[in-house]
Amino acid sequence: MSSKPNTQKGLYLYDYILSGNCYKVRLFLSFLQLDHELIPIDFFPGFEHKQTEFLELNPLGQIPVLMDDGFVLPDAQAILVYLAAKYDSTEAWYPKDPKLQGRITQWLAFADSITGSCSAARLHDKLGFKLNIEQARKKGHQNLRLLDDHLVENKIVGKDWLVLNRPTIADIACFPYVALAEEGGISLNDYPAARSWINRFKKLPQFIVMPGIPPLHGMKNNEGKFFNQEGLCFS
Amino acid sequence: MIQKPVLPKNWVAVGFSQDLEKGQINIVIIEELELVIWRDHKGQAHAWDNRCPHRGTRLSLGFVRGNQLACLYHGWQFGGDGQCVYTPSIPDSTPPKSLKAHTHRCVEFLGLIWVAPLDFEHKDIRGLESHVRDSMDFQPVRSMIIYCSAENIFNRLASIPFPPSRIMSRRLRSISNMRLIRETESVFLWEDDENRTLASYQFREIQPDFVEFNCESEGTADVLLFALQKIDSQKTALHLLLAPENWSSDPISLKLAYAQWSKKLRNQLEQVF
Repeated sequence: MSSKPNTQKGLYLYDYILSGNCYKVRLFLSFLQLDHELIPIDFFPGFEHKQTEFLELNPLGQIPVLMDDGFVLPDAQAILVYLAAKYDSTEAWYPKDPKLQGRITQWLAFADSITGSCSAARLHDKLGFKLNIEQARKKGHQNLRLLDDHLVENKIVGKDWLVLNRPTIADIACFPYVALAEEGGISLNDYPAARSWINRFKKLPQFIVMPGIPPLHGMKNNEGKFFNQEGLCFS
Repeated sequence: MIQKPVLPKNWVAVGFSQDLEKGQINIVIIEELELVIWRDHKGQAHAWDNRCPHRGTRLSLGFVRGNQLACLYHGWQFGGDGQCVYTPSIPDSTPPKSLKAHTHRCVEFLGLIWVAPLDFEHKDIRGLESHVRDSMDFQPVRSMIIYCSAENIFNRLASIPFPPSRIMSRRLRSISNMRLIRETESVFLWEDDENRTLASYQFREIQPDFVEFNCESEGTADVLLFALQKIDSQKTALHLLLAPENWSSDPISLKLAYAQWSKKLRNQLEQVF
C-alpha cells in the first residue's frame, strides 16, 4: 500500500474513489465533519485489496477499512454504526432507541443486498467483472421496488427518509448504489420515490459527490457559482 | 425499416407533479418513445423527445439552467419552446431557428403531468376536465410500474377479485361468504349469502387508459382514478389518484390503505395466467 499511516493516531480510511461502499463512509465523515485521511487502494486494475498486505487488515479482502487510533474496522455498514456511536453526540444518525436501532439495522442488511445486485451489475458493466448480469439486474430491480414502495408509504405518513423524518445511517448505507444503479444498466425511471429521495440527499448540508453521483446542478456558471433549485446561483 | 415510435393522439399521464421539482429532469417512456420531462425555475414543466437536435445526446443527461435546458455534451441551451438560444463555443452568435428540440404539449391537471403531441386536436386538457367531477378533491396516492400490458390491466381491473381496503372494512371482512356479482357490464356488487348488497363498485372509462372507479360501502364512497401510461407491450405505469367523499376523517390512513392495496393489485396483475 502506497501510504500506510506511519502513526496510528488519527482517523484513516482505506479508500477507492469509485467504490460506493467507500463513498458512503466518506459521505458520513463529511456529514459528521470529522478530520480524516484517505489511503487510496488500487482496487482496479491492481486488486490491491486482494493482496497479502491488505488481507492482514481485512481477511475478507474488501474495502473500505477504517482505522481509528489503531482500531481496525472493515465493512462499510459496521463503520457507519461505529462512527455514529463514537462521534455523533447528537445521536441523530443512530438514535439510542431499541426499535429504531433494530429498524436501522434492517436497512443496513438491505444495503448489502443492494451491493450484491446494483453494485454487482455496475462492476460488470464498468470494470468487466464476470458475473450473471441478468440475475444481478433482476435482483437490483426487486430491491429498488421494495425501496420505492417503502419510501412511497413513508412519504404518505410524513417521513421523507427510510426510518425517520430525517436521514439516519440507514439512508446513507442504501444511498450510493441506488444513486449509481444506472451505471449497471438498472434504470431508475421506474422509481420516482427513490429518485426524489436521491435529490433530497443532494440538498443536505455537507453533501459531497463522487464520480457518477453529481450534485443537483453539476456545472458552474461563468462566475464559478453553482445553480441552485430556483436556477439562481450560489457559491 | 424500424419506425420511430410516435406519441399516441391522446393526453397521457406521465407522473405526478410532486415528483418533478424545479430544476429536476426525468425520463418517461410512452409507447416506447423516450421523452425528457423537466421543470424550469418558473415552475413550468416541459416534455420533449429525449434527444439533442445537435448530436443526439440524451437531453436527460443535461442540466436545467434557469428556464433553459442545457445539453451535457456541448452545453447548448434550449428555451421552453425548444429553440436553441445559446451555444457556448460560439457565444456571440444567434443560433439558427432550425436548431430546435422536438417538443410536445405538456400540461398539469389533477396533480398529474400530461403529455400529448403538438398536433393533437384536443389541445385543451379541459376536454378531459369536463369528464372528471369537479367537486372531487383528488390527491395522489402513488405511481407504480406494473409488468403487465395496459390492455390487460384495463380488462382485468373490472374483475379484480378483491376490492380496495376501504370496502374490506373489519365488519365486511368478518363475513366469510362474500360473493362478487357482475351486475352490469361495469357495475360489480359484493353480496352476502342472503343476497344483500354489502358494497358496490363501478368503472367508467373517461378516455382510453384513464379510468374512474367508484366504490361504495357502508354509506361511504371513494373515487379512484387510474391513469395508465403504456410504456411498452409488457410494462405499464399506473398513476393512482384518490378522492374520498371527504378528506377530513384520517386522510393519512386512507391514503396509506390505498397505497398498500395498490401493491396487492400489482401482484394480482403481474401473476402469469
